[in-house]
This record gives sequence, structure tokens and C-alpha cells, in this order.
Amino acid sequence: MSNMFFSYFPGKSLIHELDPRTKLLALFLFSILVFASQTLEQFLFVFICFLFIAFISKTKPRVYWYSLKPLLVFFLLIFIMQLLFTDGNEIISFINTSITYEGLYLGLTVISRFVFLILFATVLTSTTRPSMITNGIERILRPLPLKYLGISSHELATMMSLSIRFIPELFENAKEIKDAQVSRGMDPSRSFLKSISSISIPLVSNSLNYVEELVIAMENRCFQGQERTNLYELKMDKSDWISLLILCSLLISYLYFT
Amino acid sequence: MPIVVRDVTYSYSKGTSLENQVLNNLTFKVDEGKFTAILGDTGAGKSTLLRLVVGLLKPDNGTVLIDGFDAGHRSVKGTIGVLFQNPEKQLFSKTCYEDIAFGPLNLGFEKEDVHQKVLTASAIVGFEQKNLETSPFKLSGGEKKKLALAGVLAMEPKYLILDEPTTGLDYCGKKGLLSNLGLIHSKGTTIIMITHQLTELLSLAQDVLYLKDGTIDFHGSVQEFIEFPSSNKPPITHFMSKLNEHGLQVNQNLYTVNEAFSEIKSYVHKRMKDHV
Repeated sequence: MSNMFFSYFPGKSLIHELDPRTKLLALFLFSILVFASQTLEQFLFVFICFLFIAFISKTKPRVYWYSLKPLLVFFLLIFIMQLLFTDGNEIISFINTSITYEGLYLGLTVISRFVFLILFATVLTSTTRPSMITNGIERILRPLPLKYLGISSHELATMMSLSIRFIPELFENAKEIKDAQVSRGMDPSRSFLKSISSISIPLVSNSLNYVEELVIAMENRCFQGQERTNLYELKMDKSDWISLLILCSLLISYLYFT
Repeated sequence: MPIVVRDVTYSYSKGTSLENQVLNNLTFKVDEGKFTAILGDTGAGKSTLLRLVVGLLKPDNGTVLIDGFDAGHRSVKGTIGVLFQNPEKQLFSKTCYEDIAFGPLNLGFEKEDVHQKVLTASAIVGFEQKNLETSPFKLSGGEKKKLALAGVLAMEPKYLILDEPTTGLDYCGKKGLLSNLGLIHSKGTTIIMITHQLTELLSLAQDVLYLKDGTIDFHGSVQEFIEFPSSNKPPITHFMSKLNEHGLQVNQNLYTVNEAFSEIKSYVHKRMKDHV
């Protein structure tokens, strides 16, 4: 309950009402938009798009913060790596390495892309029930000839949705292990690297145990990965088609003019 | 005053549509050397209260003071030992020995002292020394619980806080753990224990704090709690009440098998004497 990373928040908004397939495709289109962006103006345009989507989804700002907060350390590490290991025009040098304009630019670009991807994904997860995300993925994948690969679209969708559902669980577990260590006198701010190594071993062990229990529980309830009907069948409304049309036009114009 | 909780309020998922206030204006104190039981239904806020007292969470309003310092303050470090609900998430080292030694090493003790503390703590909880070099992940649930408790006790904390420590233990495991806690308490350690099961605490606890919907419904002695209307009375107390209802004039406010046995025995003796 305490971990709100990629969680669903019930509410009433246009985004909440949209079909999960529309939202999944929109996320895909926004991802193209984010990866196509390189300059400050382009990122500003992506930011305006995000603000508009966030406004109509009526999701509270704190929800986005809950999604970004656990990843700040990774963002920082990625930024430092780009900053230190990119060749180019030197800004400052020390010991055997130097910070370059290119490194700074690349670091900021990569971080901005990650941040926007997380923000757009948060709009999807905060406005769509996990079961609806599974249904949406399953319906999108259904026309693909997956049976020749030995898997069904339902199996693939279950795997994807379980992965999304596991992320908050993983963070919660890591927090519990960290709490146990802090309560036994460890100061994570002083021994950062030591704390990462001592968290990762039990985290992997606990996750594997959890996965094994989950598999047994699913098999006990006769999960066979076959396609099945749903209580609430998905239906694309007029608003879904209009939303997709606007987004596609936006993306095509953006790619054409930039 | 060792542990003081004053006007504490706490909510999860603040600022979202899932905001949930779990603790509302909680005020109480725990005296030094006391054994306090925190009872309440699932979702009453017991585990959240534990995390606030240990300093892992910060209250939205109010204060939690340990020996006059804010919970989580550096000066409090090492004085509180906490056993969480899921011991398997509290174990993280490669061997059981390293896991027990983790706390004392962080507190800056010398290696020889740490070794002694590991041996003493594992002996107190009855953790077999032959298992000290094995991986904690290979232990059974009961052994993991013992190991987690040993890891906490090795720090020799002034305050020991336990979140449902007997859950998942068999009868012998429970009995052993409770007698160990009695022993630790008799040496002067202040103990706060969260539990659902009142019966197992009655012979140990001095104070009872009963949480209901995030507020304190009751705070007082064990004897007062048994007479408290909304408490779930232990089965023995129920049994004695039933005997009373059926005309046997025995003391109802008993809560252990031994006490009930003595009471019934003396009642039978008395009736037999009257007949003779």
C-alpha cells in the first residue's frame, strides 16, 4: 500500500474512459515522439504534450513523483556515465578524465528521454486497471501469428502485465530489506555501494521464491495460457478513434517538420 | 520517559485518490522496562505504528520521541531492535553468522566482542551453532525467525520491538520464543510486541494498547483489558465464564490453563468437603 510506483488510481476522466488499446498505442506513439526529440525546443513540445495529457487525466502531480522518485539514482548514474565517457570539446578535466559539451548534451538528452517515457507510462498505469492492460495487450497481439512460435497472445500478455505488476512489488521488497538493515545500524548514505550489494542478493533470492510461489498458485488454478473470453469485452468508441487519429496526425506532422 | 508518541497522524499515498489515513491522533507512552502488547485487527495500523516508532516513517503530524530524541535520530541508533513481520525479508547475508554479526559490526564493536555477541544471541534464541555457517535462505520458517531475532538481540538493544513474532511457528517454537522473550524482559529490556493473539501474551505483558481504526481504543493493564467489552477474550476466560453461567462459582478472570486448573481443582475439593 505504501509503494505507489506504477499503481492504478481510480478516477473519472477522459483518459480513464479510453479503451486500454488506445492508451497502449498512444504510449507507443509518444515513445516515438520522445526518441525522435533531440533539441530543447523539441523536448519543450513533448513536455507541453505531457502537460496536456496529465491535465485531462486528472492525475495528481504527486503520482508522477511517486513513479520518478525510485529511479532518480539510476538517472543520476546514467547521467554521470554519459558525462564522463563521451569524447568531444572539453569543459573541465580532472585526473584522467574530462567533462565535455557533448557528454553534457548526451547526458541531458538521455535523462530527458527516460523521464518522459516514465511520465507517459505513468499516465497509462495510473488510469488503467492492470487487468485491462493485460486485456489490451492480448487483443493487440491476437492477430499476430504467435502460435507458430509456440506461445499464445494471452500468455504473452500475462507475462507483460505480470512484469509491470512486479515492479512496485520489487521496490517494496527492496525497501523492506533496506529498512531491516537500517534498523540494524546501517547508514545507507555512508556506505552506498555496500548497501546496494547487500540489498541485491536477498532481493533476487526473494523474487525467485515469489515467482515460484506465483507459478504454483497459477497452475493450481488451472492457468493454461489459452485464449479466453472476458467478463467485460473491450470496445473501441468514437473517442478512441478520434484520439488515435489526432495522435497519429500529430506524430506525422512532428516527424515531417523536424 | 523512554518512548513517547504524541498526537501522531499518518497517511499512506498522500496527495492521491488512494490517500488512506491509518493513524489518527495517537498519544501514549511506554515506560522503561515494561512489556507492552499492541493488539488490534488487521489494518488497524499496528505495523505502521511500529515503523514510526523505529523511525523508518515520519509522522504527518505529531512527534515520536525515544529517550527525548526524535525517532530515527543518530543518538537513538542501536538502542532499538526491531523484528519485522516477515523474517525472510530481514535476512540478507551470505551466512547466518554474518547476518547476526551485521548489527554489532555496524555499531562499531571489535571483532572479538562481535563473535561473543553472536554466540550469546544465538544461544538465547536457541539457534543451533552448527547452522551458523549455512546460508540463511536455506533455513525453515521457524529457524529464519530465530535467526532474525538473534540478529536483533546481538545489538543488545534497550528497546525491543517485535511485529507478530510467533506467526508461522509451531507450538514448541512459540513456547520457546515466548520464554526467551520473558528472559530478555527480566534482564531489563523494554519490549513492545505486536500481535493478534492475546492468549500468548497474557503471562508476559504488563500493558495492553488496543488499536481500532487507527485510534487507541484501550490502554491499560492486561487484567483491565480482559474485562474491556470489545476485547476478544482468551478461550480459558470464555470457558470459566461458561462454567459460571452454569452455576459453578469459579473465578472467571483467568487466562492460562494452569490458573484454570488450580481454580477448578480447589472448587471440586471445596464441594467434596461440603458433601462429606
